Amino acid sequence: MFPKRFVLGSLSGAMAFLFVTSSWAADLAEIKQRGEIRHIGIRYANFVTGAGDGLDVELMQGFAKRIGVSYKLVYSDFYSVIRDLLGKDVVRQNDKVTLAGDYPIRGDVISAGFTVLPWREAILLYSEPTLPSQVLLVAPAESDLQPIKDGADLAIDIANTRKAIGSKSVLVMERTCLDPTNYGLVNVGIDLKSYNKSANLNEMVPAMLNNEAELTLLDVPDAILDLRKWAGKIKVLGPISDRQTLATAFPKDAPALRDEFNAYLRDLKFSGAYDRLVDKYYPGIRRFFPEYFAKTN
Amino acid sequence: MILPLIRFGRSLAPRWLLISAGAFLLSMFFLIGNLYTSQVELRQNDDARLVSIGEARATEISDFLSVRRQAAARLAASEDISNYFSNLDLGMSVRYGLFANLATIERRFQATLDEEKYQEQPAYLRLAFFDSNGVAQVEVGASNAASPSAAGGDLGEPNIRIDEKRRLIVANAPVFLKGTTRGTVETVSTLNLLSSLISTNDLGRPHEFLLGDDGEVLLPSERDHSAIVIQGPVLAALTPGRIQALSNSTAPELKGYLALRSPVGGTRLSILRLASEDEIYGRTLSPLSVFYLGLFATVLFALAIGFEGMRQNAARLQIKFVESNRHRAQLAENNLALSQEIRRREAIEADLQRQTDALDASNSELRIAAAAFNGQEGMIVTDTKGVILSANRAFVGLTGYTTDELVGQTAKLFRSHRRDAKFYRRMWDSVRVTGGWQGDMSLRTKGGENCARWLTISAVKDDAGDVTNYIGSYYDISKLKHAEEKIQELAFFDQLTGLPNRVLLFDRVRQALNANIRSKSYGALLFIDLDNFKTLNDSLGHHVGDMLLKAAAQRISRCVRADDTVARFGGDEFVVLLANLGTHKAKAAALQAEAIGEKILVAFTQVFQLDTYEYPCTPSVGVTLFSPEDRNVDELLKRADIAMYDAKTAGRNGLRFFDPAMQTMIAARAAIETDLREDLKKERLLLHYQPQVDHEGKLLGAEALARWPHAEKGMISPSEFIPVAESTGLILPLGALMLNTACRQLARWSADPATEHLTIAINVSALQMRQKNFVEEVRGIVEQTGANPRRLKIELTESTLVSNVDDVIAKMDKLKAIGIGFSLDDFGTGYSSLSYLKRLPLDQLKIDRSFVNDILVDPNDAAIAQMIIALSKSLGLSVIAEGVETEEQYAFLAQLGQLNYQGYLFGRPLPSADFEILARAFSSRHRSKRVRGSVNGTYA
Repeated sequence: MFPKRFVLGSLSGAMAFLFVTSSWAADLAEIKQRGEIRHIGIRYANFVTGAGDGLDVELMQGFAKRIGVSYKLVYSDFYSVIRDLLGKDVVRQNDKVTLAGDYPIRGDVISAGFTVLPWREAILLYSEPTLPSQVLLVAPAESDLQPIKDGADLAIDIANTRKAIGSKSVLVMERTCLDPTNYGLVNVGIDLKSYNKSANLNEMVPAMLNNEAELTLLDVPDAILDLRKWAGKIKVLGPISDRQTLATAFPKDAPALRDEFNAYLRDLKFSGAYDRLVDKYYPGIRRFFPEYFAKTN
Repeated sequence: MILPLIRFGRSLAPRWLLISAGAFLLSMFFLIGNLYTSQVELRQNDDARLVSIGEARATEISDFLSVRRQAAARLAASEDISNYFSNLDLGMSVRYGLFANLATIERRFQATLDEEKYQEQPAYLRLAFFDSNGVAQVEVGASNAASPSAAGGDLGEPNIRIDEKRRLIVANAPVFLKGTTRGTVETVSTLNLLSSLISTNDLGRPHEFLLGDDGEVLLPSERDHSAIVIQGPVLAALTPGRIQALSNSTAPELKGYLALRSPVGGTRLSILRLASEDEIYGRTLSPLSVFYLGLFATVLFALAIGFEGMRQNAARLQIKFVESNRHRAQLAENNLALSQEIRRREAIEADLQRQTDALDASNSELRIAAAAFNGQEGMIVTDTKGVILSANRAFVGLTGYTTDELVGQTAKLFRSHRRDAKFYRRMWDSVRVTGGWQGDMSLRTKGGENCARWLTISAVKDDAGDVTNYIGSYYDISKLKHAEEKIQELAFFDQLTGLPNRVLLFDRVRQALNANIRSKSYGALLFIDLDNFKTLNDSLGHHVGDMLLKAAAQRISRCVRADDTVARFGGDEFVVLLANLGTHKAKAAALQAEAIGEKILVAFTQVFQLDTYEYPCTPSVGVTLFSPEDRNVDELLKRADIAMYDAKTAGRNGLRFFDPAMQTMIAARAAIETDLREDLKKERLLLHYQPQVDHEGKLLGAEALARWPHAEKGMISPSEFIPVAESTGLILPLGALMLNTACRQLARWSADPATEHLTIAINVSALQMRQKNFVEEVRGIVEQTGANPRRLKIELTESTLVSNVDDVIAKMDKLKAIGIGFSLDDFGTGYSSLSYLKRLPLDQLKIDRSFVNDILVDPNDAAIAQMIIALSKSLGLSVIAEGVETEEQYAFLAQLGQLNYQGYLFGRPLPSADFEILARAFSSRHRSKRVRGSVNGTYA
């Protein structure tokens, strides 16, 4: 009879060419010599819309102009973004973070509403904060859970919100700012449903409304957009996390690039142009974090 | 008989001076009488004009205030405020949720504050949104313009009030949600915006003032008008619409002025116009002056009589003197009388000259009055009963009646029947009460046509204040009307189909949502998109596309009820609004909406006759219901749109209801389409080749299958991107690329003895086959690549043959003529018809993998496979079974006849290099030993 596997196994050679085109991340001098900065972006809320614009896209375009190079946007996702910057995959075991493997480096900087988290700080250089954030708990409008009352103490608000979860299932996305391990939600009896159909945070609310879970975690930037998009269909129950910080991330070996970016960011905030950018893409966020923007002003 | 007459004449001769003076006096009386009448009429016309301007000014201010009210109502009805209350009702806190809504509202208010202008000035000082407790949730603009009596009460409808002390215009509009008042929107504008509507006397026009209810002078604010401020309460109490002299005013500055008060409709404001007589009537003779002129003529006449008496006395004295001093004094006496006569004549002559000058001036005034009467606008003069006394040339020309036909008639002669008797009663009541009326009026000409005019009726009064006549002026407003209608049409209707456009649709959906709150019933939106319309436009041109749109609009309109709205939403998209389905049960409403949707689908089953083309067109219909709770028009349309795309995805020509899960799926499809379009441009799609063998295991060739190695997502399954390519038309460039790649491959294989005999089967979609130039395109690719057409086999699906079989057969015949073979793919799964099977120039039938899969367990599948093999034998066609994966399936099929095979059992799809290695291995083994077992031994 005919063999079933007599044609298998010949694809490995074709994979080899994928590694030929890789190039290396670089510090400021090399980028200026190359004449192009590659911005790794993730289609996420209004940071990188996917339509060629977004808060971080305009931010990085301005930076490219300042250092006199051309700008290129490279799309990635939350699962691959660090690998695309460092050429190494991230392995997290308990509190340990290690880098493994060899992959093509696709860009010089990550800027996409990227949350500053301790494990990320261990392997990346962060810029000064670009925006504050917070993770909220969201339910469908018809849910029997009621939003918490505003309290004076954020810790009490968080405790009340977590208490409300009870036996409900919660939609989360690992390796992103909605990763439950960041907020101590793992192994505490909460029914966590990991969303892995895509790495796009914009899909969390539609997935919840599609009954994939009874509740979902959601960050403030996404909440601002989704409260308009799904008005009357969802409700914010309360905060799950402390205030967080979003910033632009660089490889550890690109300190000059990071310092130049910090100087650019300070100038931008001083001129008021940064506030206008924030108002353009997140018209409500200055109301949510008045103390942060009071400082920038 | 003659002698007495001569004697009478001679007796009168000495009195010729007296007789001439009498005749002159009579003529003077006649002229002065006419002059007096003209002056009175001119003054009445000036009065009417002043009243009309005052009312127009009041209307302008009323319109301005109305716009402010509407703007407040528009903001109150905004979706952002509605979203705020929806989220508030869900229990969300300001800190964790409502902040986003409040920010959106604030942004909208700020944009309104920045963008809305009135005569180049900002229309608003401040905008605020209050909740039901009167607490301001959003405030933008000048805080010092905050209203001290901030809204919070239970407003029934938008209102406007004037803060006279702070000189502000404050408009409030309630926020309604689900039938209850939830808050208020307040707009604050400065009163100074109205300054431009109040004229001053700088250019010789009358003074104007805007007065509040208590007589406070609101505008102008900067001018010196202390007398008006003091007299404000008195002036505010003047009878509206009537010109009154301020002779009794306690303010000396106002004496001699005339005043007119015009109330501003819907408010407690008034426009006060002040002017002197000269400013209103100009420097013409007053009726009193004319009276003095008549008196002067009478005095002259008395003097003439006196002179005559003196002359007669002198004559008598002269006779007596002649008798006594006949010789001495006769000459001197005569000389004296003569010189007196000369002086008298000179005096009379000078007087006559003065009177002639006055008469000339009077005639000039009469000519002006006559010119005004015979102007461009139609005018008639009637008595107090409405009987026409005179009509000017313009009116005669307008109505077609002659002056003789008009005089003695009433206006009933040319009234149209568009107004009822009640209207005319109200009109005459107004004329009697206010002394005038104006409004829109339709005239019927003698020829029976109706024409629109703006009619102004003014009463003419005598000195005693009694009405003596009415003057009717008919101003031509037909162009204005036409322009209004045209603007209306352009703003709200689609020019191509005549259907309501997107703007009108939104308005009607909002109305329907409001109405459904009251009736508590469901409505529905149907989103209709014409399938493949872009293909029609690209192939036959926009002219034919427009014809289809018009015909489709008519068919859709015939399927709905009289109260429903069919709108053209844009491009080939239509939206049907079923405003009220008359039920509060969702299921019953859905059934009704579905029935109308199905009716529309049926209406499209007939082909469209577009010029010389017969074009079959189907629609995809997305339906969403809306309940009394739904308030967001954009959201509803989005839902219907999503449902329509679901209908498209399900194969078009269908109807689907909205399901939120579609949102995620459609977003993913859109991403695939974008990337596919980009990768097609860069020719990044590849062909993999799956072996096809004969019953002895000899390699015959391969089926070329499209593969897409995505730069970021890795290899994407054809089941994901082929449907997207078909639905977006990308299947055409994709098919062309695949055909080109396959032909280049054939050309390369022909140079190698191991592969020169191999065929390549390539799939061609129905859309490619329908291309007019498909045959030429295939020929061109074959010639350009140098491929042997006899090694190329085109696989068609049964869906290709559904429409226009004759055209497909003609194309197949042409390609067959150059050696290209044909295989019918997926045979047995669809529309298999023996009648067309006989006519098609096929070489091969393919047994679909779905039958092969279950051939061992499902007797029906086994029977179908058997039938296909028998059928192909009788038609002289070869048979290939695809999807053969197990030895058992192969064994079962082998016993049915000598078939060809394709499937994982014989090889997976391979990149071209790997396939060539496989082909060479086959070739060498076949030269050595033509048995299947040897292959097995090499590659197991």
